[in-house]
Amino acid sequence: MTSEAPDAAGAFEALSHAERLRRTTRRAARSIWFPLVLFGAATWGSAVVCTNDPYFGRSTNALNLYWLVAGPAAYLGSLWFYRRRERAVGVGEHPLPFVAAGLVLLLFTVSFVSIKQDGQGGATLTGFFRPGGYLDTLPAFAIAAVVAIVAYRFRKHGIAILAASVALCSLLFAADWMQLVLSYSYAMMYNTFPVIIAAIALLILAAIEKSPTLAVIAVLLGTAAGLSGIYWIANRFHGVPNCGGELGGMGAFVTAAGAIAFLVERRRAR
Amino acid sequence: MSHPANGLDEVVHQRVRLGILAVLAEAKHADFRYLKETLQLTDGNLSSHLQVLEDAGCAMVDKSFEGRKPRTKVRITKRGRLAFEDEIARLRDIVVRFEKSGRSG
Repeated sequence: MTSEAPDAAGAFEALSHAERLRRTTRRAARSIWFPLVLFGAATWGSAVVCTNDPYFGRSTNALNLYWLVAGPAAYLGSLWFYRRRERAVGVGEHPLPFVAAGLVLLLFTVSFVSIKQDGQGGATLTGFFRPGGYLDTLPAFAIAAVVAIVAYRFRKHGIAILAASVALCSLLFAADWMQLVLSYSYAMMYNTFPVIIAAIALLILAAIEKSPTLAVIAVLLGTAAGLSGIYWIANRFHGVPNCGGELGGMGAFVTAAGAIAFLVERRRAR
Repeated sequence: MSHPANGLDEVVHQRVRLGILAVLAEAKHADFRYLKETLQLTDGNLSSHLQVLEDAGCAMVDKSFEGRKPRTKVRITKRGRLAFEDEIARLRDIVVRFEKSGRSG
């Protein structure tokens, strides 16, 4: 034991030294405040686009089209921020997880844009994620499989979470469980799915950035969006919900989280 | 079973070079300036350590210009990443071995 003590002390010191440098570099390379403020502002913006509809509660087409533009714009904005930061700080991030996450999120957004209202209080999806059939949802499962392979190949947990999200979503639609759970066709998705997508995006970013704070924010946002959708179902029978208020509240929450993250990061940098 | 300290790679085990690889393992690349400031080294000292890592195939140094400013980017190679991970695993082994012997002794 005595002869091993100097070895062990040296090893422990070397491990601490390496871990300290890894942590410093992670902090220098990764930043979360800007994407939070950007996605928060985008959610806030969606409250302006969202107009109450006496039948559907919300003008979903306008919302979906808005997210088709705002989603990729917020993503590209985040990309620009990271590129600029890379030059300023002198440490570059691995771009693959970010690019893969962005592509799949874009796919999600595009898939959910084509929602047709049937005038009976229900709706039909015309994207990849069509309800009621495993065959219809096959392309979505294929996407999940490809993303899972990429996750395995590059040993990236963030991409693995993404693959699991796509697969779970596909399964929910294929088995029509969404309808069973909510007893109303896609009401939840109708109202807050774009925000849930934003929450998934933040969760992926949290996994990439190894940021527990961002993960908590993403889960809270997703839960808030889900509850808001369910709240709308109940409210539909008693009156018209205030969609602007709900989305505005969620946007304010994410923007405030971004502002707090900015202050924390600035304090750490000192 | 041989002691884990016997398998330590001298190229990677050296404190500064282990530090360089620790930084590079967390990023796609790091600037010469960032490495110098983070590891608190002089230009010459950092250059000589980078040369050792480059010769061993553990790091790649890429010199370019951005506008009129010269920029030196350093990135870890696959071999370097493997060597770094192996070194960390061996160091952990040494610590665990010592802790176990302390408990049993």
